Amino acid sequence: MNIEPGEYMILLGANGSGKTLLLDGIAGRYPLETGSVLVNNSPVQGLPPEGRRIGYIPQNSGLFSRMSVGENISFGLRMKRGDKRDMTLRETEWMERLDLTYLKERNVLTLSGGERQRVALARALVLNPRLLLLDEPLSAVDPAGRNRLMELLHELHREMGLSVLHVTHDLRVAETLGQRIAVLEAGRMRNRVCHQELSKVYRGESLSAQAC
Amino acid sequence: MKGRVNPFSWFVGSALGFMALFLLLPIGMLLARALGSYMPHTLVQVKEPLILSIWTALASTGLCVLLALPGAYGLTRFSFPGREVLRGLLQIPMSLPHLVSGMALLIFFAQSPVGVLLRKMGITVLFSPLGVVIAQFFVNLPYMLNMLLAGLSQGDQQEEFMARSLGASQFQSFWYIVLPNLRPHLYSALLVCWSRAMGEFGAVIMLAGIVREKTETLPVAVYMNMAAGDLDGAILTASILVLISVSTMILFHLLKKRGNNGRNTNASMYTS
Repeated sequence: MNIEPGEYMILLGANGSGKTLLLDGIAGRYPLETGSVLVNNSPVQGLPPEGRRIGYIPQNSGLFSRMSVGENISFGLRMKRGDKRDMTLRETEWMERLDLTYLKERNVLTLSGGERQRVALARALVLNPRLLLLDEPLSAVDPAGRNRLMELLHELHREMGLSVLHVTHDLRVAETLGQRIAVLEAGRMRNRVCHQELSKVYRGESLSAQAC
Repeated sequence: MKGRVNPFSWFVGSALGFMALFLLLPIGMLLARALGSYMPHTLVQVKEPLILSIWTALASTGLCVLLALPGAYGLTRFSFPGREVLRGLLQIPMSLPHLVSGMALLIFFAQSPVGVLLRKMGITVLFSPLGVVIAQFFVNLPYMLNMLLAGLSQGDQQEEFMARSLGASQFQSFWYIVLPNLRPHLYSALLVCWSRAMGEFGAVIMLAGIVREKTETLPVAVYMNMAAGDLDGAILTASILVLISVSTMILFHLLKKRGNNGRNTNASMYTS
């Protein structure tokens, strides 16, 4: 599996096919038994998660429940112990960019699904990651919030030239955002799937042998 | 069939009533008797054992948390061969009668090379306040470990991983994520172990002996007063132990309640 720099890749697959496990492996949550993970051509599988510079947003957004929105966003910056003024500037910049300034002091448990995902995005992007992993980030968001988040992801990807691996079950999301769509099927990865073949994935049918 | 009492409900109600009377009446009588026979001079007698109990319990509880916190973290977050066996073995002291634990400690500090070395270094464990601390430490360590293990097993490990993926080292993730989430469990564990240490008797008398004004903690004072026929002194000392236990229990429940509500507040990790 290879994600080109600046590419927005969608990963589809049935429940239990190992999509989340794959993201966890790339982010360093579990050690890999075999294989390797290369980011910008350098291997990262031997590095601890903090050394990989990979942004990860799990399905439930993974926010720190005892912290406010501002504390969540600035967490990674504080761990680096960099210049305080620079930290505040970056924190403010991302809160404004994702329209979160008015929520700064709020505890994250009081946020809606869409707001939580925007906080998680800001928290990951403020650290300027080399790769962004998204695990069904739109599944707990209402339809209006979902459209807004899709636009936001599209805009951020275009502006920042981010490399993104986005796991989803939603065909519309896959077709709207994905520059390339891959499918994890029975433990095997199909790296490029034609848009016409997508409906087969959801009918549980096998994909044709040749690539698009 | 209105008004007819279900026999099962009657049985449950009776059991509850009997249980409440059986558990609370003797304690109530003890407190009433202490109030009735209160004399200022008996309170002076209790002062030294009370001070000794408080500081030895504080010291042993501090030692317990120093070992149990990293120990529980290691047992829940690190993967190593024999982890489950070790976890089981560390529970053994909890199932022993405290007298037996005290005897094991006595033999260890009297006869083992460690005990000999400590004596050569001028450190006296047997029949000394240090012995009191060590006895309390030994019997309470597995309890503290168990309470922290329960807290760490409930904790959200995803938050810890998210912290790591955001650049936190393992220690930073422990300090900023694990510890704040564990705080209610930690406070409860400290309180329960401190209270248990205050009341520890069996292991203390085996290791530190019964030496008036030297190793005389509150429970030892109760025993000594009873042995000397000073019933009023024994009752007063015992009622102080009751009051300490009841206050600890109330604090424990308050902390538990606060811990349950903690996730719904605007708790700040940087300002608190």
